[in-house]
Amino acid sequence: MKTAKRLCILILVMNMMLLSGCWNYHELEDMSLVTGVAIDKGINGDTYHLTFEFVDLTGDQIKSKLVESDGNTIYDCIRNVTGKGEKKLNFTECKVIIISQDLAAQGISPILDWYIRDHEPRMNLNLIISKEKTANEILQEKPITDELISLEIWKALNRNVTTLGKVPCVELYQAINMLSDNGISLILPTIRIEKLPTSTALVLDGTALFEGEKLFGYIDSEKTKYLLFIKNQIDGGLLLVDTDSGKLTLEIVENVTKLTPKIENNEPSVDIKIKMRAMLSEDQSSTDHNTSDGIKKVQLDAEKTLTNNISDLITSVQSQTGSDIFGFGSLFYQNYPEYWKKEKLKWKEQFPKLKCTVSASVKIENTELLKEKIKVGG
Amino acid sequence: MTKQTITEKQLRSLLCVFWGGSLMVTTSSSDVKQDFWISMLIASVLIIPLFLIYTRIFTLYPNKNFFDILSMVFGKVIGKIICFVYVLFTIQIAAILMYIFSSFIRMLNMPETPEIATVALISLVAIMCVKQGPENIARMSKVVWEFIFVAISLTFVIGLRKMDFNNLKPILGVDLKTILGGAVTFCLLPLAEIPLCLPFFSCMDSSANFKKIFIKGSSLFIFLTTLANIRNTAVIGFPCSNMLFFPSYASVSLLSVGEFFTRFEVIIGLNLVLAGLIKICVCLYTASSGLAKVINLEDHKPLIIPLALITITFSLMAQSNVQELFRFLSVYPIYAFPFEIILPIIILIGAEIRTRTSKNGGSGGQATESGNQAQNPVDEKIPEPKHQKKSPYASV
Repeated sequence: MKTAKRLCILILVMNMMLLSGCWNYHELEDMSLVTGVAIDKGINGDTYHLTFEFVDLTGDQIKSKLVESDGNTIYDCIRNVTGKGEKKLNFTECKVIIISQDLAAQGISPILDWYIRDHEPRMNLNLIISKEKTANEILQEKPITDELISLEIWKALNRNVTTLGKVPCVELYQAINMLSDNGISLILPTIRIEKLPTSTALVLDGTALFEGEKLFGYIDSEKTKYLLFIKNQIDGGLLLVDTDSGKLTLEIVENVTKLTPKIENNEPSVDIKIKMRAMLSEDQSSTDHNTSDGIKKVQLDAEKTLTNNISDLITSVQSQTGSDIFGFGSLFYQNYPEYWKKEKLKWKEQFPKLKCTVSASVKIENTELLKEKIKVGG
Repeated sequence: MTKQTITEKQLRSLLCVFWGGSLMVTTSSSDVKQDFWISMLIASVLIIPLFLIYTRIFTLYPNKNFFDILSMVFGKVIGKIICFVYVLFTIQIAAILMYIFSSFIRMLNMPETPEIATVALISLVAIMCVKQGPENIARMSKVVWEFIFVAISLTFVIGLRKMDFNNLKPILGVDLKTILGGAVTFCLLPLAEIPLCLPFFSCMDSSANFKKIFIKGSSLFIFLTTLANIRNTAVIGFPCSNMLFFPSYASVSLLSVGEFFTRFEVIIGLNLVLAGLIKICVCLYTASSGLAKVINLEDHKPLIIPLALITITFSLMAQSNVQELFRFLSVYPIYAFPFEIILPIIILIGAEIRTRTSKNGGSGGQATESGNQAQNPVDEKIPEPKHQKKSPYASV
């Protein structure tokens, strides 16, 4: 009896060694880690043409490789790659999706379905609209500092929120929230290739505007900054101020935008209050602003610049379209749900008539290292 | 066999983990939208009368097994029928849980592993746990509860940076009827499932304060689920948090500390697996001890493995896809209402009448004894067939 028991245990232990192992075990060498995808319209009768950038792990150095495929659905394209190379694509490290503008104009939600449905891609990957003819061209560019172009785009996009503030950074789940909300329209960052005299480079610049799920226009990077001011997504960046005697540059330390929706006599309006702290970082004007009166003047000028530009942006958007890129509608939904229930379907007509009052208060904290500015000829 | 004892703290954490086992389903109630946490708070108040009912039943019959109480109250035949119905209900809950469990692992982590493999492994562990008896399960749940508590609080704190509390607005944006409906659903889906862990209560000392255990356990659980729900809605935003099957997993996957510490969703996966395991253990123990009462077995252990196998088969057969399961869960409150609310009330009424009549009959001093004696033969009659039935096992 005892020997039988021992034998049983021995067999079980041996089995453990021989038969164990994960069902879903994947060697790193057997995978191609995709870092970025470019989605274009199909060429030969197919619906989509996808370009994948993946990490090449064969050499000692990290290198980028591209592979293209056609198919009728997104997943079809991805699986068609398997017929071209020995490795299966893995999307757990995918950082960016670049969508061509032609495809975005047709509607973006069918493209996003696979990425949110499948378990491999993460929900915080970034979506970008390519302003070039195809999205493929973007991935063909050579990176400047990083080894992989899509990683460089991703890093630039995630960091420019704090140092540039000219491009919105939209992640997949945020885009889907915006798409399915009636009170806010989707915006996505755009990318283009800049042709300089001696080189070409990728620039993230401006915003793509959507009506429903369809792309209908762009706004440039300068206007995007004011758009981000309204959406309270400014964490840093510069603000250029025109004065009578020349241009000044302020570096934004902190910005808080407060939006207060109001309903008076069934007339909706939005109060935009901007509270900004900044440093006087560059002074190209002819007068010295490094005095307490000078700083007060700069503050006033900066406030004027902000309010003027923001109201200009709102009126120009309102005159062009009924799509609410600022998210005022969802403000009313959040604060006046009863009102929103009635107006929900009419918001497209209501939005261009919406009254907005902008007020800004700018506080300049310091003038950096200089006590006095350069005086030519004393 | 020595009687196993459970401390108050262990039982409290057992209740919490037991409720938490079905947390992953209940977080995705789509009608109530952002106000689900309000529903949960209302549910915690609505459930208190039910707690009082159970407390009263146990004070009327101290130190008695729930299934014994059934046969005492309703007589042998009807008591056994009700007991059997409870066993079936328990097996079904365990099967649903097992299905969610296996599909969670299949959908998120291991898409190529067949469901039967994960289910079989989980139930193997569950069988081993249940064989060790209720005390073991209660001890395990104490450790698991502490882990879950730390994990959820930690992810909440880490998530604070990513949260946008405007996502929770409008507060009370849905009409009151829907919120109350959500509250009732939440009452019935995890909170009122207490009959499934009632056999554990007979392991307690008679001095235990059941009311305190119920109230403290439920408030702790509600606090934690509310925290998790607010975290999910505030991080992912609406309607994304309602689109996903496993919003907790998705919301935690977005969190990071710096650029280095990312992918905390493993913790959530572990949470669900541990809590689900405990719940399956509890269901298996209840079902086997209930079935043992029905067929007059003294020991429930021989029934564990067959019941586990039935549960596995049931979990794989009962629904053909996840959507079907979720459709069933939407009508589940109506289905579970008789088991979870009506039957306890009937049992309480029956118990009150039984104890009163036995007391009234014995208004004289001696008659009480005779009333007790009248009950005792019933108790003593049960062991006799037990010995007869037990003998074949002894020879095996």
